[in-house]
Amino acid sequence: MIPGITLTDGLTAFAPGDYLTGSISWSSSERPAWLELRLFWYTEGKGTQDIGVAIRERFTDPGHHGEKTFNLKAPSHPLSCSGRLVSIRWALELVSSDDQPVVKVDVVIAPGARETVLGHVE
Amino acid sequence: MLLARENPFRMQRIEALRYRLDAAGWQQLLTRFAANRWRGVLVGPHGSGKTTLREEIEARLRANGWQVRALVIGDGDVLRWSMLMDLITGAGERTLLSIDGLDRLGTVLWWRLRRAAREVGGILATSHVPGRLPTLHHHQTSASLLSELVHGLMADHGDDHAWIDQRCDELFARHHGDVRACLRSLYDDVGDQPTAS
Repeated sequence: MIPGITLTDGLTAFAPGDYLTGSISWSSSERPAWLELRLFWYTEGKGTQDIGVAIRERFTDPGHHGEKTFNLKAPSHPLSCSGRLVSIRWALELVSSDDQPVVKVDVVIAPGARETVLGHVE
Repeated sequence: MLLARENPFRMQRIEALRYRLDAAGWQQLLTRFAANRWRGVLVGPHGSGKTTLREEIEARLRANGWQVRALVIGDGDVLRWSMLMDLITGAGERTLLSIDGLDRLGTVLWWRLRRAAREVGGILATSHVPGRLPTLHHHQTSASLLSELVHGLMADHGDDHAWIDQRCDELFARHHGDVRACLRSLYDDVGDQPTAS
């Protein structure tokens, strides 16, 4: 499986309510039963990881290869932010039913399309 | 201040570390496990990689068609027999019962579990002390192992790594060989460093 995610104009930062548009592509010698595009958030930092899937779009019987467009509305929360102890990040990933490697593209969803940086408290 | 997503010691990178065992070591380990009717316990102190190795053994058995049922017993957890029965019910000869924290399981519950699981394919456990099952692997840590891990994690992070070995020696002594605790301390060390931006 050679999966791909392409965002329109290479944009990877969005404000809540903006639309993430682009296309997914795949090419495989196997024929996966389905492909799923997920828009999800996850945490990174000192503690254990939390993950939440906001949007799933499943394409059943996609065939050996192909391309589909997507148009997803950026959720209003949680917002992309980073501090010393934790970062909340958003990403798009394409997963296939045949357990093959997935492709993931990190994006920012925050006011002004800029990740909020949490300050240091003295 | 370094952002969490940039910290080389963030949890996701620590959890992605693989247990250091070469091909011959893996073969010996799995041969010994099979010879003991797939029963064995990984013994070692806190933060010595028991859970990491347990998960890697599970993955290897899964890849060979085993079904894995895991039970993680935390400090202060109160277990009832019904919870252990859920683990055993329907388990067959290709089922591995995986118990993290065997030493936290009371004696009577362990006897009942061992008896009820006689026909189950395998039991793999982690424990701070030997006993109950044949020791499959005895975990040991060292400051040099910690240093090796830290150099790997820092490989794509800055050029000044001269401090690593001495700091690893200090942390290893302070945390009594608990590598995981050392790596958490290093998260704070690195996170507090001023950044260029």
